Amino acid sequence: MFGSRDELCRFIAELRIPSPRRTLIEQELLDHVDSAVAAGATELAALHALGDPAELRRSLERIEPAFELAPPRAIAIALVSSIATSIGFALVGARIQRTGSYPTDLALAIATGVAGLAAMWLAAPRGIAAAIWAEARASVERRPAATQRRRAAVGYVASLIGVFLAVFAGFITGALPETISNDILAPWAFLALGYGVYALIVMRRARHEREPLRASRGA
Amino acid sequence: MARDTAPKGEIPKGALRAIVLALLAEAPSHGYGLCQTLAQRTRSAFELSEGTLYPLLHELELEALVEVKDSISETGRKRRIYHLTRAGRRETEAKRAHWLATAELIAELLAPRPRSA
Repeated sequence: MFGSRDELCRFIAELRIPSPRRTLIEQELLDHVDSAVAAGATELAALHALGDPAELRRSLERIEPAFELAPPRAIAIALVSSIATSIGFALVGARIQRTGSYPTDLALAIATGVAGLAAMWLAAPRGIAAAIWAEARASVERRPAATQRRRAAVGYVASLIGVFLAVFAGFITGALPETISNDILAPWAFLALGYGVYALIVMRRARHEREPLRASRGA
Repeated sequence: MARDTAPKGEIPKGALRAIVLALLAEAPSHGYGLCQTLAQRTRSAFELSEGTLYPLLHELELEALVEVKDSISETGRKRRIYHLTRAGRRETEAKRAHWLATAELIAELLAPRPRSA
């Protein structure tokens, strides 16, 4: 249990969480204590009501790092991981694909695509999946504020798509040799197919959310 | 429910999440306000480490089920007010239906029945 405000502040200062979140949590917990004291509780009782510090530390250190998503870092990771994955696709394609029958090549492209997705998933910034999911299901009532976390999620996804489009443009303009382009684009195409289905589900859910809203506005 | 038969213990985490969403569906609130409402409604029958509420609220914020608007408290400190988003309202309805059905089922299972011969 916390015995004093200083102890609470020390606890927050030692949390392994992003610095801006530390400030915010300190304000929030001190506001909690202030409010309890203003309502008639003693300061010690208000501090004790916050519960077990070890449990609080575990919860906060599990959740808070997901808020640390800097847009430049997310974009850089997306670019590096997708370019590296594309190079990996080209190398695998040159060595393994183009050697067997068409169904074999197709199966290899799918397997390479899944391996590429796993590699990008491992390299992805911590918390990006939750941020993308939150972005997808965010309120449709009105446009939410463009927070740093939202910009990171959008930047990350846009960068991944950008690399795919750049390879595609290279394929169309002839800037990349056709064989290499095919080796890269085939696994990407299967990834895009998978993402496409997911995007359709998300769009369907968003439409479902908008319907009652439109009805209430008489649209 | 009589005070002496009221449950003593912690609110299960899944249920706490549903309860917090339901309270925010009634009105936006800050963390302390939620604790107060919860204590009043349960007549302090459940033990709640108030500190556990904040990680839960932050988790809901991460999932875009709530959004935060800053205001200033009476003491001049910055205060975070949690508002339910549209996605949060949908989640609230789903959780409410789930927990009410669960509670009904448990009540039915626990209801005393005449012993069969």
